[in-house]
Amino acid sequence: MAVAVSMPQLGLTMEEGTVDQWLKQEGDEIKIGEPIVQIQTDKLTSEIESEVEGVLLKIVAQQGEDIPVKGLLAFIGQPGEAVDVADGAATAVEDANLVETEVTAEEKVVSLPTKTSGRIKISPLARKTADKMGVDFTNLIGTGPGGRIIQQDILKKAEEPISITPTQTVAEPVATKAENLELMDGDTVVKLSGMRKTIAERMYKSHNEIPVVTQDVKIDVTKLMEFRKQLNANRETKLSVNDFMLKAVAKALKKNKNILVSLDGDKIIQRAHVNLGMAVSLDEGLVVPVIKEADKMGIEELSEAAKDLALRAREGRLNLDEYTGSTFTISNLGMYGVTSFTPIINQPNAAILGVNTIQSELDMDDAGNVFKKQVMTISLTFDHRLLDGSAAAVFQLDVKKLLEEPINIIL
Amino acid sequence: MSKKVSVSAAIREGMHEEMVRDENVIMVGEDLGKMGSPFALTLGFLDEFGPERVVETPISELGFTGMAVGAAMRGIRPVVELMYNDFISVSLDPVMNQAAKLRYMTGGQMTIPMVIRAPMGAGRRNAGQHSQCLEALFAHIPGLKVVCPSTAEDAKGLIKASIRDNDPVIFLEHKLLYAKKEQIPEGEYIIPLGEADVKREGKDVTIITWSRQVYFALDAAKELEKSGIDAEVLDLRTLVPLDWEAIKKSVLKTHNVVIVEEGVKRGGFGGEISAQIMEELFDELDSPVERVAGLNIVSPFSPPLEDANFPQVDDIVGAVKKVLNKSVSLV
Repeated sequence: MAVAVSMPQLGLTMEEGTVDQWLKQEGDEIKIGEPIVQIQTDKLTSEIESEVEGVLLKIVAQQGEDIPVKGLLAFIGQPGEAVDVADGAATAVEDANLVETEVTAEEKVVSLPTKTSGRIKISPLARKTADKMGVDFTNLIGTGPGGRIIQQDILKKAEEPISITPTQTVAEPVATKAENLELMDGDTVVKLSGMRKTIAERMYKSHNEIPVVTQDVKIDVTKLMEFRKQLNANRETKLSVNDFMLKAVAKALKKNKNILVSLDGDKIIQRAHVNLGMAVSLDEGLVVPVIKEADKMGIEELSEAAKDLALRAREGRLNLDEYTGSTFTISNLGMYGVTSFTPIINQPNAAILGVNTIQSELDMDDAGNVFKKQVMTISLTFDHRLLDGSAAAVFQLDVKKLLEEPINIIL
Repeated sequence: MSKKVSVSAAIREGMHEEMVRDENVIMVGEDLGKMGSPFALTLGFLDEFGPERVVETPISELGFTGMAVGAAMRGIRPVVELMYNDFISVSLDPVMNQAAKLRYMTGGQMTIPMVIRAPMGAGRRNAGQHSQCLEALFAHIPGLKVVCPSTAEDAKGLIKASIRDNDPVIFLEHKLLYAKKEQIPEGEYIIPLGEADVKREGKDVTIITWSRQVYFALDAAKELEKSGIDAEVLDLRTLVPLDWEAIKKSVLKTHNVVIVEEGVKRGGFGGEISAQIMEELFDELDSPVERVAGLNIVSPFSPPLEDANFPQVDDIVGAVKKVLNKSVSLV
């Protein structure tokens, strides 16, 4: 029996994925659990494993094609089995109840996950499980018959670090509108990559939704630099300024829990964990891996976690749960000599901290002696719907105090 | 040690052992003597035990069933054979109004230790009046125990338990299983009434069934394996008393249930099990309980129509896939 393989929804905000590479070709034998295709999504590349055994009968979605979630990718069945795709194109499935992709006369595609409106269809077991585990299923898309939420959906959801689902984005205004711009001599045109598109959409959405304020605070890091030098003197792996910054921010956030909030309609969610998102630039864009419960780590552990995540992010080897679930984000442009900037909030966080370069400055003490010191500015962008200037400033001040008396960072 | 015998030989062996063990055990029915019953279940009994214990009767179900109830009231343990379970309609009064109720009506002063053996089921081109599965009818009447074995081993162990039971037992034998040859243990053994048997272990879905459909369910489970579905097949063996603990245990494991019965779906025993699961285990269900059963029609004589009437392997496979939301065959 031919079974349709469709584009899975790998994250709550995922609307489409790009077929990166077929790992199996038509005619290849396939075992259960064997990867058949690589999909590029949101911010990661993911291998899709087969849920059935058989032969890859037909590849419907070609390499490079953008396929909406639930869209048809391929058919798996028995050797020689006829597969007749109605129009040969992988089309989006508008309404799962109407899915009737013609396979053979005898086959029908199973009812695919769909978001239903009104009453939530959920199995008794799934409801019980959700209650027990404290999982919010209101925005879940069920994979049972008729879109019913089944236990597996709840367990899957429980594994995701975020316990909140931002309102499903249905037909959001497009971040990238086609203007049919005139080309000039020598111009080249490249299709927007999946990652670039995701960044564009997320930045556009955040920028349009959130009334932001950015506040700069200057920090004297002279002592910190001296302290770091001493610490690193006998160390093989050196602690970076960023490591101190991560630790100081985690510590300050633990004290200032009011920064760790998310807005969801008319509700404010107080986040329980200090999960630090860390912007990592790649050639093709940007990812934000997350250091979970950063406040519980020592500076060395934090340093290692940051290095590991950054490395694997650059190699495209992050798992889905490693770049979701942040409750606060840090973006460090210090190494590029940036002195101040206005980062855009990584939703659903309430704030993001921009870390700038270290500069030398002249200052004068009370006795009139001029001396040199090293300073750094931190730029905090916050959601003014949730936070006010004073609360943000108190948090920034705590970061400043820690960095100016660095012994307190590690104590 | 085990040996290979047919289901009918296994039942015969069980009855024979009980005849030898207890002289109160007698056989009652049509053609039981010289012919040894239409399905050869009492072959040789007349010669061995004599006409007092192998009572050949006229074609009068009402008469000999009533006689057996009377004998049972006096301490005899009659094993009555109805040639087809369909004939119960002419002898319902002694069965449902006397045998089933006398222990209660007399405040326990008497028991009715009788067994009514009755071939059941379709698939033998016996048409509407000789192809029914009437277990739901019997199960509805308090005071009757209902046994529906599938394998030779179960059939022997259960007929012995039925004969030794002090209450009336309806023992339904599927006609198309009689010739099935299977391994059974050597020597005497008893399978207690009210104990279901997991015929195949699985974790994704529980297929609850009994009698001949056990084999269809096992074939379906094999087929489902190809799609990565691990089905458990629970053979109830006894419908009354029902092994609720076995059902519960399996449902707690798989959370999905398909009930398969050969008989008519409307008012079938599958509906009763489904309702109990819904009442007791609602929070354990990940999908509605699905039933696969015969159509709500008189069993057809035409072979293709008859085969289309009762559940086949594909029907069970389809039902399981429907419950688990896997690709479904429309044919």
